[in-house]
Amino acid sequence: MGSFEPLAPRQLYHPVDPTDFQFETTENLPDFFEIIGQPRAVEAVRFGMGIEKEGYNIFAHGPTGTGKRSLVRQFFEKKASQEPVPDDWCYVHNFEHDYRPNAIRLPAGRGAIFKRDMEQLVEELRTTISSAFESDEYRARRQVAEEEVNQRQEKALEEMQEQASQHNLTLIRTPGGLVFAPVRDGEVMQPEEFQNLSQEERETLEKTVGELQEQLQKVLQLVPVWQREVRQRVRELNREITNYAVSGLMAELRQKYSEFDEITAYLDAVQKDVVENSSNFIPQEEPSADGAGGPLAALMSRARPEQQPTRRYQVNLLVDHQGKQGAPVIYEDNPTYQNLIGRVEHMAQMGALVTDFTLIKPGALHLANGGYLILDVRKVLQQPYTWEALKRALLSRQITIESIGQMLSLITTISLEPEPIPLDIKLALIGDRWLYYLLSQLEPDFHELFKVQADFDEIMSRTDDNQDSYARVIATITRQEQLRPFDRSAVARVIEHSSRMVGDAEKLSIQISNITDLLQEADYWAGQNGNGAVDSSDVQKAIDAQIYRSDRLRERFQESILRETVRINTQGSAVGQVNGLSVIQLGDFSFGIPSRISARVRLGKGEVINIEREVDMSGPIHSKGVLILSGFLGARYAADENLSLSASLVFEQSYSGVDGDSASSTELYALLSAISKIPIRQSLAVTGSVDQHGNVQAIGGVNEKIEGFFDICKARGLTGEQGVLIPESNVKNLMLRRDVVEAVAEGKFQVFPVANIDQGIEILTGIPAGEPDEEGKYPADTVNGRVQERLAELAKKREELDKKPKDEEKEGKQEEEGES
Amino acid sequence: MSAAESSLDIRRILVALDASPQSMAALQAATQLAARFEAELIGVFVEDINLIRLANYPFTREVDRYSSSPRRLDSPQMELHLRAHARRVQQAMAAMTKDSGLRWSFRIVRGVISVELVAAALEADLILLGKSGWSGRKRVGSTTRTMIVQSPRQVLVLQRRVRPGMPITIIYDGSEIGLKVLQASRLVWAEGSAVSVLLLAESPEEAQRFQSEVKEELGEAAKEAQFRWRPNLDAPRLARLLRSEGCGVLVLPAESDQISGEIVLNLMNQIECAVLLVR
Repeated sequence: MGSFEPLAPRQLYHPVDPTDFQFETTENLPDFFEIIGQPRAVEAVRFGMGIEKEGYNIFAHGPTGTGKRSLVRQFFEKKASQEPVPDDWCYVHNFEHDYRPNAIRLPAGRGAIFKRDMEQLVEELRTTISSAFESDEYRARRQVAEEEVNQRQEKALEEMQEQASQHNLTLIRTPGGLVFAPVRDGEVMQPEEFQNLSQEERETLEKTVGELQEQLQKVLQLVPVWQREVRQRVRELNREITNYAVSGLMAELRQKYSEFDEITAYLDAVQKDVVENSSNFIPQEEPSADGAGGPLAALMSRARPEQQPTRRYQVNLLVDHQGKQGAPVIYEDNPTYQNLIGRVEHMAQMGALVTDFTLIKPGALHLANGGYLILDVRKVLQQPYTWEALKRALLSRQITIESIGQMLSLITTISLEPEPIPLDIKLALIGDRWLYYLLSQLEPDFHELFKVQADFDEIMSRTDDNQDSYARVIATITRQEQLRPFDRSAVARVIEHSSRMVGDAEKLSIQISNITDLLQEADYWAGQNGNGAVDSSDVQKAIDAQIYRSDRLRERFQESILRETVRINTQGSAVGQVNGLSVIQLGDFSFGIPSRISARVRLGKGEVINIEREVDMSGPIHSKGVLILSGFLGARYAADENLSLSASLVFEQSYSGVDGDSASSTELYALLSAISKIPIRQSLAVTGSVDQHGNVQAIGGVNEKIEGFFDICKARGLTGEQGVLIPESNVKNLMLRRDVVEAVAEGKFQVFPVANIDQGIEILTGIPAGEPDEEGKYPADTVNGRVQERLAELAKKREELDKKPKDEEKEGKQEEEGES
Repeated sequence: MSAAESSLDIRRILVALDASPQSMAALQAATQLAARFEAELIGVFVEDINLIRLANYPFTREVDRYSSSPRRLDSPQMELHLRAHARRVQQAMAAMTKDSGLRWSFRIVRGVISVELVAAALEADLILLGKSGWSGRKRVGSTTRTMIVQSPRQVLVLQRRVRPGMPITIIYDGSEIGLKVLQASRLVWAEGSAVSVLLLAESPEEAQRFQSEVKEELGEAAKEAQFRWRPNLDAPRLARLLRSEGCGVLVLPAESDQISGEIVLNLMNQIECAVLLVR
């Protein structure tokens, strides 16, 4: 055993020497503006940003907290600030098709001016037109036109009256109409008087009345025709007056926007519409506030902004870049369908939902058009229809606003089809790796649209240079988050913990969010302790507190071992029983606990039974590990004969599943002990996987495993005999807790690196493993020799048994016969 | 009621009603005036004897004003018509006076409208009536024409609804009746009414004198009044002026040395504002 030395304390922990740092506290350090440890991602983003071809959008993927969004945003903002401000976009009324508003593009800042110009135009039109209509000239002309029909009617009726009076008749107006009646002395003739007239006179009167009535009917029938004529003439007059009043104002605007064909065409349409609807500009008498017209009239009132007829001359300034610098960089935090594509809102009017172009609202795509957009892919995929809409916009290179309700024919209310707006955008999606690979596998258009992947790493090498950079990152974060400065011991401790977080003494974690959390918590504890600067004890306190907050379950496990509910021996020795180590992961926190692995053997046909597997509690990797054991056993000890044993392996007191192959070396030790009947030291625990040649291979979570066993031993009292066997290749991963390192330094605990099974069994049993001679025979006083001997014994017995059965069979039959 | 108002001595107001929109406007104005002067309101509905008579002719037909189709007339139906109108008027009157605590009466008489109205006018201090009744024309109707000439009392002729505070135009010629005109203008004057006065004077000096007379008589009401001088009353010119300035109520003598009934009628045919004829 003496030939295998345990690891020295310095091998168990790779500290950072604070004195290596050139600074006292992080206050002395400059900011670190680059992105630490992400050369691949930085290169990818830079490339994706620079290449201005279709489909070169960026998909930044990696674990959370690796700074994906801040990197992309930082790069985008830097580039955008040097780019021109994109154009403004407006929606205006389409006078030909009400439901298809037109989109108008204007240079940045001109949109707001155009909107103001149109508002002013309407205001001016109102005064110009109403004063034109109030002018004496117009009034006179209109009155002439209107009076004409009255006069024609009056004249016609007067003529009738004239004719009537020639025949002693008069035209009388009744509440309902007009009647001819015979008169005498200005009064209607008494019927008696009428009767006194001669037969001839009566008949003449009657006949004349009949004729006059017919004439009257004809005259009255003409009245509506005259009225129509008058209306027509008034309309023409209105048009003439409006055109005259408006053309000056419009010419001014047309001149101002002469370089924009879309706007001049729009202004032409506006002028035509204004002339046709001049009455919209004349103030109307409103129903008074006392409700003279009733609530209905108030609802329909033109004074309500949504009812104002001049609403259609407004400009809906969808995207306004007035006063902006550079191209936009937009991060849409809630990328719903509508927040992305834009929407057409509705308003309730008399119980119905109505809309117009002024209710078109922009989405993130509009706002980012001509610039950069950043979206969280998980959120995009969670929102119904958003992914499809985003794809459609990118592929068609235009933004088409369409409501979901309309798309699915769920809503049949009046809606709009705004003219699509061309889309020119650089998009970055941010998300998890698995989403990237899932999309690239399942989404046929994915590679068309996202040709640049920026793969973010979570670890980087722990070189001296990188440690210095890391210190600067810490300094930058402390300033960004307004934390107390960290002294160099604290920085060193943070870097050490960063190594421990990735479980590798030669690597550092670049999940900056976790580091930021640690810094903030250390700052908190420094505040609690009244420290001006954060020192290593504050960092340690923060780490301890983090662990304490999450280690309830670990405590329960350890308690059940210490109370011997779960049996783990930490002293003495036993045959066929080894302490294995496993790791339990609980969210961010993981810890190791020992478990008892036992093996029993008997005569059999060479099978190794994995009891966990029999009850479906073994994962595939564990099952594979156990099968490797039979391979190793057979090839090493019974190459030329039958492996005549039957072995069973079990994780004692394990009530949930087991997976991973890190216990396969442990199982092999238990098996070798069971076969050779050599007891194994229970003061040791083992981890490591094994191959078919007996080499011990690296496993994960080595630090947690060692600490898990150490905690149990420490609670029971360290004897100096206790320790852990780890694969030699895991030594570089060691970043053990301080108390473990101290115990090792004091000789109270040991960590043995093991390269192969022979080394391990020798440490565990205290008996040499033994080397085979030329015939493959192992010396008898070695572990291997004992194993080989036992297997040979079993094989021999087996042979004997194989002969026996025939005799026994006969005997058995006789017995049966005897009984029967 | 101010002292100046009480001096007008309006105790009974008669309103001629035929259920036409114009007469309803007259009723409304009459109610307001009655309330203001604490006067008694008398509504008179005249069943036109001519209508009843002509309904008895077998050959007369009523030609509908809108559809121009002829309709057979008979007297029971005509009576029914008139009664319905009378009831409507009475109901409207009851509704309008309901909350004012006014003393009011309503009666129906049968006869030739103008004759009956002239007779009824004797018992009132002020008569209100619509301009042209059912014909709705701009020209003065026959009944109103008779009242303008023959009414023993002052007459307020309305074509549409009036509201307090409408601009008032007064014609003043310095005669005895002129003073009455100024006093009567208080009937239609209200706080905020813009007042403009047309002075009919032979010389500027006379106009100046008239102006100070008006100012003295009207006092506060004439404070911001606008004065114009004309040597005589030219109906078409005045009508144009009133139309362009916008006139609410015109107050003028029914007849005086310079203003004949003819001129008044001619003027009224050309304007749309209410006219208060003072005598």
